[in-house]
Amino acid sequence: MSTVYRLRTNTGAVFALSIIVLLIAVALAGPWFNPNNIESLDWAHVAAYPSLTGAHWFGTDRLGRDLYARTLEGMRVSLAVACVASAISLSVGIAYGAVAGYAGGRWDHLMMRFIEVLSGLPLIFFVIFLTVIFGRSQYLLFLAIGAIGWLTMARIVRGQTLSIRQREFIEAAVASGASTGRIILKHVVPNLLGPVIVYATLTIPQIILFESFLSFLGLGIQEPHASLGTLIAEGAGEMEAAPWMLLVPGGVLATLLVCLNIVGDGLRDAIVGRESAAT
Amino acid sequence: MTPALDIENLSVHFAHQHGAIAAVREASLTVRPAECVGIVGESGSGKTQTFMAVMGLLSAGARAAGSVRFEGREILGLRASELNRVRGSKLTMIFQDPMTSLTPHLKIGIQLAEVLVSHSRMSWREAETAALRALERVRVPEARRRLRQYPHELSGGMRQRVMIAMSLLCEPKLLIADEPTTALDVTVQAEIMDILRVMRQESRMAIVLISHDLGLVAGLADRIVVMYGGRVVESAGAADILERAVHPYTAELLKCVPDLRRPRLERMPSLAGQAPSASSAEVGCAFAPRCPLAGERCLSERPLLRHIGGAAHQAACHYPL
Amino acid sequence: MNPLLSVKNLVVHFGAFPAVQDVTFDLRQGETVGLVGESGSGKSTLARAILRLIPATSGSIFVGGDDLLSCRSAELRRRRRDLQMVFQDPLASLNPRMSVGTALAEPLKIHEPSLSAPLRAARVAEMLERVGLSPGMAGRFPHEFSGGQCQRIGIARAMILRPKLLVCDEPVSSLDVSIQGQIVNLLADLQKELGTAMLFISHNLAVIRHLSHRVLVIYRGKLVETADCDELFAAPAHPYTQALLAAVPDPTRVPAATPIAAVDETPAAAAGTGGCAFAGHCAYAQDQCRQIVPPLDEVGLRHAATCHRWREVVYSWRHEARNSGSR
Repeated sequence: MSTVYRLRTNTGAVFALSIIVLLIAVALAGPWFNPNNIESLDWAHVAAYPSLTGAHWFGTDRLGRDLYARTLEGMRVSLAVACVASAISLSVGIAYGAVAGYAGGRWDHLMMRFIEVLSGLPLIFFVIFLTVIFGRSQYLLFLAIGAIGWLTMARIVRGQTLSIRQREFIEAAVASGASTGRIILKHVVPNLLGPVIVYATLTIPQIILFESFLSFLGLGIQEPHASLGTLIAEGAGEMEAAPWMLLVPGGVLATLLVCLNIVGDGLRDAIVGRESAAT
Repeated sequence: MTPALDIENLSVHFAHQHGAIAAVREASLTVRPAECVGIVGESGSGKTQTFMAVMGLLSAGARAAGSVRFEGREILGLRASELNRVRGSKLTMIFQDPMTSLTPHLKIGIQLAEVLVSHSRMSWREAETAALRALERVRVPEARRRLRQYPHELSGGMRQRVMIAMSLLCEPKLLIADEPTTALDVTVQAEIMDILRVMRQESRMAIVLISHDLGLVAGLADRIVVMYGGRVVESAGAADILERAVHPYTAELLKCVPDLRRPRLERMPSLAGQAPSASSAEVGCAFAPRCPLAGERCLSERPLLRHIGGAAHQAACHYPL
Repeated sequence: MNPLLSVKNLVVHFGAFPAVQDVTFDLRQGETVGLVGESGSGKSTLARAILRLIPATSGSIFVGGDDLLSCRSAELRRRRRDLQMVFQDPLASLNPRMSVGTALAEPLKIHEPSLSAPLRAARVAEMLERVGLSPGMAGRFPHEFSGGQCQRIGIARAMILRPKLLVCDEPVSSLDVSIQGQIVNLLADLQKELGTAMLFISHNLAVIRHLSHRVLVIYRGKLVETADCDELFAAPAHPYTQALLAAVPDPTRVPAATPIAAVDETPAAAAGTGGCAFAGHCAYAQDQCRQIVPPLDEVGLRHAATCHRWREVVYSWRHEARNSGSR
């Protein structure tokens, strides 16, 4: 039975996935339906309550900026960071892990020790360090998060590769004269995709959280741009006076994370189910 | 006399992407006490699923309908707790790969003794002695040392012997052996078959021997049931099957049994084509596409199981041999 | 004529465990050599060592005159086009994420990179048809096929380059008895057509007898008997070969007491190096069998066995065969 079919029978996962799709659609298409932009200051409505009939659906912040527009911007930025960072960690992690796992022996040993050294470095200091040297920029943020994410990915890929290497079709490929590069590319990597996709889905929430955390500390996105993390940081300061400033981006972030986790779990069940049915 | 096992109109369906598929279709068969019945069929014939249903071991998503009576008592659809009163003690099963049925991190002796402690309230000390005797009965050399070994320390043949010993601990009325020797070497296979033969004479239990190898089954079975496409297609005494098979499928299977004493043939005999898949719709006889004798009627009308030749000989064929 | 494959004194060790000990044999073009032995006897190890899928400890493997063991990796990869293999588990030996057409095209892409895509597709289609599958199946994936069909695909992949040597490692033992013949006949036909030499490994004597011109019997990593096929089945000169023959299930009679006593079958237990490795299970064993390793003795024409008492062994088999024949 196909993975898609198994996933479709999982009502929770389908529901969560449709919410994610909806959120992404709103984040991308939302600005066209809203007259306000992220920067314009509305001095007539400073820290206004959310109201669906008024000019600002989700209210405004202390400077009178539209919270609806800023939340959508925050979602776009957070999702972009998540996508770019997981793309980096996927490509580097798969390449590194597959080579280490397939080469085995001394190479494997060496490459894995290198990863251990890297993951031993304290992460926050690493990012602060980079920020100090290169200044704050969105791209640096993408890179920094991606550069850390691939470590775990490489470990997972290497473990999977070790077990794939034992399988008979790899021996068959060797016997037919395929080169090592070809075997890794055509025989190992395609068979990694299942577990890797699951892991990637489960790391996206972590990356979003981490970005929010860095932005909260002031190391991430700069004003007037916003990410969910900076919005929450701002909102936390105004919690008593204007609770919606915290609740709106916080609610969006929480919904996104819960849904991504549910989809990731559903995907894992679907893939594991397929593997067990195949044996 | 109450039969040891009575299966009536058993069907097993699996939920699938494109509707349900039928692994077993209205199969009926009876195993009398102390009788050995061989179940023969190719992979996908439903032979294993039939007895997984009997043991209540069908995978999730499978539904069984019909009736299965063990010593007169309906056991199909029983809850696991009720089924466990007979399963593992009076009704036992051994599988092709004994490694998967033994717990890897427990010593053989403990696994054997546990069966007795849980089923017959024996003390651990008594149970251990009984386990030792059981291993000796299935000719495990150095049985005392084996008790303290882990499953991975034994060879495949030894593990299968341990499984047989375990299944015989509570003196079962019926032992179901599903391809017990398929994973083993010929010499070990011969030894295991001999152990089953002797055990059966000693303890008067009934045996169901499931295999794709008619030649192997014929050496032990009193009666042989041939399954194809989830249905019973022929059922008769072992000698009748070997000498007077009436279903063309059985006859074709017999041709495939190797005989080293016959001169070498130009072509190795085999059945052409593929076994039907469980998802295919059933019109007419499932064997018709591979059958050398099939006529028009076989493609349109499904043959029913009927008596042909003798009272104990049944076959489902329009044009029996 | 020079043999196509010539294995000389091949030894393969796994750590300290000798999996293959001092094996020597030849294989001519168009010839099939059957290799019989039980699990753990080292027959699969021997096959893999010959194809250099695992490293050999010592010895030499001559293919067409050069020693394969001294080839460097690029040279080895190029020579693999002549040395192909069919595996035991047909489904596991196919990449689950690769369509059948792609899997068959792969050897062509590797060894005949100049072939254009349409020509390659044509070769794949032709090969699929040759092994009894429809060319329209090229787009399907391995799990959509039955075991027998998967093995046909495995054979097609091995034969698409028209190799000089095909090594088959238990290609039918995971298939139903009723299907085994299809695969065996297909291999026999392809061999006749293409003149491929074949090393056919199996524990199934019926299959071995059907395909082989010569048979090697291997026990615990050592060659114990080698003979032409008919000769081996008519007059086995090693007690182990006899035990194998006697163990084949025969539907027409209840087998006599088992030929091999229940001793520990694990190969690791065969640590004792003094004498014949089979002595512990052997009905003919005498003191000398436990003390002196038997040499490979010439028993008849192209027939050799490692047994001190092969004369008695052959005699008693002939005697028994005559008796059971007259009954």
